[in-house]
Amino acid sequence: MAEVLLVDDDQNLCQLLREYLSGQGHAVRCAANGRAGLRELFERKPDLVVLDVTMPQVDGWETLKRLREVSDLPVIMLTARDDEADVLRGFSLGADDYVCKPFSFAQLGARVKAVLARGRGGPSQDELRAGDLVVNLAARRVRRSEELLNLTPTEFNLLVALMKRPGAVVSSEDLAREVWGPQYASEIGFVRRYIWHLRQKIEPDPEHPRYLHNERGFGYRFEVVES
Amino acid sequence: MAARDLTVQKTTPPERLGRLRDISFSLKLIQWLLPLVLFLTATVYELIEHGIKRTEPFALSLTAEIVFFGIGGPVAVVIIFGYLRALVASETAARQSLERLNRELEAKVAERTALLAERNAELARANQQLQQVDALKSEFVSLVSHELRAPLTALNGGLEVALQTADTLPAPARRILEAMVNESRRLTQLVQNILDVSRLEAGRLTLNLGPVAVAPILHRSVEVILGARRPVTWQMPAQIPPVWADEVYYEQIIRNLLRNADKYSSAGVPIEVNVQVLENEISVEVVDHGAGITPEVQAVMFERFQRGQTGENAPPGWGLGLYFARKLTEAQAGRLTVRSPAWPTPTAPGAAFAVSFPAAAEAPEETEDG
Repeated sequence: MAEVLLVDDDQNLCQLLREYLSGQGHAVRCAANGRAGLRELFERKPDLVVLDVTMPQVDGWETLKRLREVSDLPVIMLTARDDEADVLRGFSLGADDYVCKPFSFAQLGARVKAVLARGRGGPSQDELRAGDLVVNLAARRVRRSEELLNLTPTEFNLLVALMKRPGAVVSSEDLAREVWGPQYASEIGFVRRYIWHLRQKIEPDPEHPRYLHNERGFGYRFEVVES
Repeated sequence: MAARDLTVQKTTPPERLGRLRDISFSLKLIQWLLPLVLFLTATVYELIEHGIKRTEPFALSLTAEIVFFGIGGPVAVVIIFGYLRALVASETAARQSLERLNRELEAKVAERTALLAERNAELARANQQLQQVDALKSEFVSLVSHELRAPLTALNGGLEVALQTADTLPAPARRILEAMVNESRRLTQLVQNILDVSRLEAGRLTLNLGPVAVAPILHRSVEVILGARRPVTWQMPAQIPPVWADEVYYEQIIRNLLRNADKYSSAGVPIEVNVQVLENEISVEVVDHGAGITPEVQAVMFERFQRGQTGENAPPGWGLGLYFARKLTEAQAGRLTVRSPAWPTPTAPGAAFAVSFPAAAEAPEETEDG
């Protein structure tokens, strides 16, 4: 049973989340502000912290900064902001994941589970890594080094379809079937265009791809090739 | 707008008026001096001439010639010069009155220009105040929507927790909770839309642009919005190149048009979805067989909080859908237009909403690289 520390000044939300996460098999403690959260952290040594950004006194950013000075506990940030700058700020301060309000409890529950699995060093089911690329499947976010890449949902699906089979050649038909559905299996023109645009977004040098490779007449292959 | 300085072309410069007065004075001098000189010259000449000759009756011819040359000539000169002086005087008077009118006009123009500048400054101030109020309003809406998201999370989450054990709840309680879930979802969507609108207006909405395959989005949207409830007539070329758009917002625009067409159509009447591939853009048209849209409504329907129908029988909505759809389309270099009547049938003229987006750039031919 994992112990989760919930730091949020919204007492109603804390109570409901405690109810929900307890139902998922976690032991949940609540703290109403950053200072109380840090105190709990040192006393109880939880397995994971869910941290709200907007709080009186010590806010979420400051709490995260102080927490990171002494611990590398997994942290999920909880906030009503979803501007890209805020997401990046969270990651640069060492947050492991980010959930924007209003979120569904099931969504947060899945993230908690995934981050805990990663923390235990177990096989992470919600993350794909290759070279500098980090794909968070639950949050549907792609990062290259510390840069957040803006992929459309379909580009994301296409990348994941290829990344899940590293080194294997996947035919355009299979990709079209997997990404758009069986009725679009013949739309291989889509795939070519999408791959080209995807390269512009993820490849450091799209002319000399490092990740997405073309197997002429067959399809595409995902593999990290150092140039 | 800056006030323009208005000037009046001066028709009579002051130096010309001075010259006219000089001429008038010279003419007056000449009018009296010249006849005097002529009279004296003529009289002296005649006296000398008649004194030397002494041949003719002295008094008669002398008097006649003095009268003729010494008086007649000078009198004619006086009359001619008097006439000339009168002409110059009337010219001077005309110019003086023109000058006066000019001065008055200039004063009036200066006065009006100052007034105009003042009004402009007032307008600029009012405009600035309006902009401030508008910015405040957007900020307020954004703040409120932000603040609403925290209680909405608790509300949605609470319902989620309560419905986890739905089987153990009495049936009426479960039904109520399920209805609350639906309403809470609607509220969440509304808050999200308002936030998106305020972000879009403030130029802070981040668009995630990329290629978007049109047909899958259309099929999925039709399935979600209309399902099997309503027949759809498709007109679509076999090959549609992807558009360049934000996939999520593109789908939102398409769904909005389908939802509207559904809302304003009678049950069971089909909706048409037509796709046209034009030179560099792809146009999707959603056509209904509803009551149509009057030109007056068409003129305002893309503005905020404008509804196609109002009153008790109006379909539900906030009047934000089309406003947001057009703003979003334009932010992505697309166009959203309406055409009504769409059909020649007077009883069901219908409306056609067309959304056009630029085609995504074509990928160059690839070479084997792996």
